[in-house]
Amino acid sequence: MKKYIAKRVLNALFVVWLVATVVFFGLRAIPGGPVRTMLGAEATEEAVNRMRAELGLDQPLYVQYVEWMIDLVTFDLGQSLTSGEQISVMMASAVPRTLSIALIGVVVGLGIALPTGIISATRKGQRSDYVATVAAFLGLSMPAFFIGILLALVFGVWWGVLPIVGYAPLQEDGIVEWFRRILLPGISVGVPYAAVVMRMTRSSLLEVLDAEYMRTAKAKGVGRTTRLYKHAMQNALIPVVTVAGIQIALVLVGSVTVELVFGIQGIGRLLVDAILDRNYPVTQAVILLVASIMVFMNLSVDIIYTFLDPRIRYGDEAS
Amino acid sequence: MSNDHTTSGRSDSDALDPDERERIARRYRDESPVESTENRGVYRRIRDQILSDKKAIFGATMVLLFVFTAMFAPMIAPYEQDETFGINQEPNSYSEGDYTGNGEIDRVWHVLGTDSFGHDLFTRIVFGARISLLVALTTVAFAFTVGTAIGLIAGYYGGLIDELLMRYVDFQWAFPSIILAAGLIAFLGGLGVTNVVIAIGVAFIDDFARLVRGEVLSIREEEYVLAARAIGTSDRRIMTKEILPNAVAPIIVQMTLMIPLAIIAEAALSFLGLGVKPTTPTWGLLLAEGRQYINQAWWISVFPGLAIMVVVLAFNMFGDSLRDAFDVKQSEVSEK
Amino acid sequence: MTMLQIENLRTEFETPRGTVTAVNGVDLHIDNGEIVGLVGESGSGKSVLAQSVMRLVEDPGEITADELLFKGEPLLEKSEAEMTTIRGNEISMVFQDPMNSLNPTITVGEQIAETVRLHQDIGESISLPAEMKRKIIGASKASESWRRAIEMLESVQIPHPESRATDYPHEFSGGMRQRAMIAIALSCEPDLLIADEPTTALDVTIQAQILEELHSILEVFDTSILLITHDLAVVAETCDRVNVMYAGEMVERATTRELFSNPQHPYTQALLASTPQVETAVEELEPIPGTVPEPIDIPYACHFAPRCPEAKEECFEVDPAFRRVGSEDHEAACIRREPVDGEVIENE
Ligand SMILES: Nc1ncnc2c1ncn2[C@@H]1O[C@H](COP(=O)(O)OP(=O)(O)O)[C@@H](O)[C@H]1O
Ligand code: SF4
Ligand SMILES: [Mg+2]
Repeated sequence: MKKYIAKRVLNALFVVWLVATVVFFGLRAIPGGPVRTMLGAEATEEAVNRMRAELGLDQPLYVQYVEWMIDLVTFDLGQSLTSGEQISVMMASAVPRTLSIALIGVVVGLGIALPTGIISATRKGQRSDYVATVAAFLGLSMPAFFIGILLALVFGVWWGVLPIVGYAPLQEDGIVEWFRRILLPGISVGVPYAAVVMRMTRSSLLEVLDAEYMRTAKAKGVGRTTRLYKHAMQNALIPVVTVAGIQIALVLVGSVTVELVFGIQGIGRLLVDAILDRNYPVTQAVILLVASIMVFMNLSVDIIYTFLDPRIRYGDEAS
Repeated sequence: MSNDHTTSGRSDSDALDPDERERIARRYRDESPVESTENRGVYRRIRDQILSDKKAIFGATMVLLFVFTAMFAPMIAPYEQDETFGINQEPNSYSEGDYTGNGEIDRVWHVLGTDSFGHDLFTRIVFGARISLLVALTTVAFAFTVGTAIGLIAGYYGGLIDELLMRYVDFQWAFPSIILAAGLIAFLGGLGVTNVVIAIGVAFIDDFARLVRGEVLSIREEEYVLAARAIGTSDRRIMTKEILPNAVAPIIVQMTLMIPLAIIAEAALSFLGLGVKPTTPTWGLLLAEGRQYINQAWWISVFPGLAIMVVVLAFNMFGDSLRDAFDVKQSEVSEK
Repeated sequence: MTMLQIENLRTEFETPRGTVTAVNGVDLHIDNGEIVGLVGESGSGKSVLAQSVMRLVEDPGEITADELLFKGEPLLEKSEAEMTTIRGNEISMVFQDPMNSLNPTITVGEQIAETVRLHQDIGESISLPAEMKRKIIGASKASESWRRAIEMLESVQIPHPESRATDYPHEFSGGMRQRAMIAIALSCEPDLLIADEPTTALDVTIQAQILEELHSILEVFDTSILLITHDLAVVAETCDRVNVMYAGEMVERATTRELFSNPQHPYTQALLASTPQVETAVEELEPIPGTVPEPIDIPYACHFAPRCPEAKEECFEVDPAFRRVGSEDHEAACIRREPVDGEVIENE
């Protein structure tokens, strides 16, 4: 198992390195060069050269690359071109906002998806299965930002029970205010996530309930509930964990758009502003961050796997 | 009674020979009310299953309606896409003014109201369908072409090529599609339909590559492929004539399920302001505008949102039914 | 006394393509301590019949019978809760595919211990929380059920049973998994064991070992067995009586000795001619041409008719009722055979 985990960690590091490298070369391959694009066609040659020197773009490529790698390892992400602010400081303020939304989204999502998926699978073909399946289809068909707008409209504009603009940091405003401001965005990203995970839970559990070892359990005289939770659930969860992990991407993407709905200065806002301002250092930093989160999620899935699947935990060590 | 029944195969004088038996059996089968199901072609079975699936019928109808709307937008929309009337008009209200330039006051009906520029919302939504459909079809076609090529080559040749291509796919996997698309927009440096198509298309490549590679690996060692190789058929021919046709079912399902994802991706990019140019009528831009005016005019965001929802729902339902009919596993195709 | 008494059992599955009558009016009985064989090609309905006895048939499946008596008690009238106390305890089953019949996420020891706990009053809780705790934290190695599990593993010849008990199924070979299945099935000393092709998925040397072990264990436990197989050689070695099944229906039944020396039904004869026996050389084997029809509204009277070398027009039209065709209880369902006592056994 150690070997398996070591392999996964190495693979994760490799992907992060690859992403960093691609971002590095991608930036330098921008048609016309990033500085020219940034400053516009009218900028003088002098101004362009000054900016290039400022960004270190006048150095030989390999020097730039080594410096880039050193910067990354030391978390020195450079400065914003528009505000001059340290990017790491900007991130420190934006990341908790996005992660708060994502956290609520995942909690809400799993909280809806797992029970619904289980009910749906165990009552296949019945009314509750039908209702859950239709609901999942609807959830799958609404982009998070539309759900966000609907929620803002109903709870903010019409009923006026929850604020629909801005964020309240946990440390400063306390958990209640934080929660009040993060709940609607969280639900918005949680619903499509719930739909995807629910569908996987349902189909995976249905497949497991049909497995021969489930028939064995019944033939042994194991009761229905114990069969479901002791014999089926762990097996059914293996593919669910994969999907739930991969689909964190859906939650992150959702947060990026939902931040705009609820006026929250998270990494989504940061990214969009950076792209529109051609603020390349910030753009590359955000992209790298999101990719790292994804790689980390993937790694977590691999590790959770080792707990769920004894074939990985104990097997394949020799081979 | 005789005792010589232990030897099988000998025939009594009145025993039927195999052909006669088969003939009689067939006569009985034909008379029986149940149609012999094995004899029906796969194609007919799939068609019948889809036709008997309410979900599929609903999905297909809505999809057709959407395509029809997009194609005939100028005829369906009551007004020109850029025509402006009274701003933020409620649904089912009228604008009054001289819109035809003939010096008379016209009374103009807005089923769904108008937006903050005074565009008729229904007209904008109808024209928005064009962008959605255009972007969805071209991105999926693009992703399909590139992804299938990558998957075919990786799966067929294996070894180093496979390793490299799959590393690329793994790498792409680290990017949620919208983030990758946004990064590509930054790289391509500008708004517009072409950039949106390239950005989303690239972001979807990995799904097709992974799917096709998996199919190739499972088909590669099949007898007919080995046979084709043995008689010296060229690699390209084997890939396009032998392998690809057998991977058609999951590919079709994947395409059907990618279209709604592309529609959502386009809407999301436009919503973020990273998509098409701001004056273009698209659902995503209308939603962004509607968010701004959420306190004054809920309809600007709600109706385009519903349009996205219905179209995406339709494609998802149709795709899901196709998957059932083709018997493709849920885990085989990806849903982002 | 009769262990199992089945009369006119039907099991049907409602499918989109029609009603699958997997078991179509079958009679079967097993006496105390008897080993009864059930043979027939794959697709004959043997497994469905076996699962019907334990009421394991899942949803679209419907079981009906004039009689389904186990130790004199009607199984079809029992509640699901009552069935739960019978399954694994009084009737247990060994399945064909040892690779998939064990739960991959539960240790082999726990899969046996669980059965013991369920059916024997050894003071261990079988509530859901207790069971989940055992699954997540691991079962107590000091418990009575665990001790019994190790004992069972030992009796099915698993070496180092103490350490093997904590293994997961994927760490066992195919033969060992099937032994573990047998250990589960026998852990509560059932009165009736149904073995559904217990050796089919295993390679030949292991098949022989498993059968031998089954035999010796059964002598200890004194259990009746329904042995399902499509391998006549296995039957010849093991069973007291044999039932031959084809496309959902019984076609012949007799003592093993009688059946092998005097097979009457053309299907049984074809089956014998297609199976390697000690005396026949492999070259003489004659495979039965064609395949078992899918049991969806088979329109002709004798289901074997399209493949039967002796078939005549009448066979398609007239139901082949059972008739005595040899010594003792030797019966076959074929209109070509004259009843030795002149009587055709009417079935409805
Ligand atoms: N759940 C089911 N639904 C529909 N048909 C089934 C089901 N289970 C078994 N059958 C059908 O019943 C017939 C008998 O199957 P089975 O009992 O497995 O045969 P055997 O064990 O003799 O090989 C087959 O034609 C099979 O297709
Ligand atoms: S009834 Fe006719 S077809 Fe059926 S087994 Fe006897 S001879 Fe063959
Ligand atoms: Mg079977």
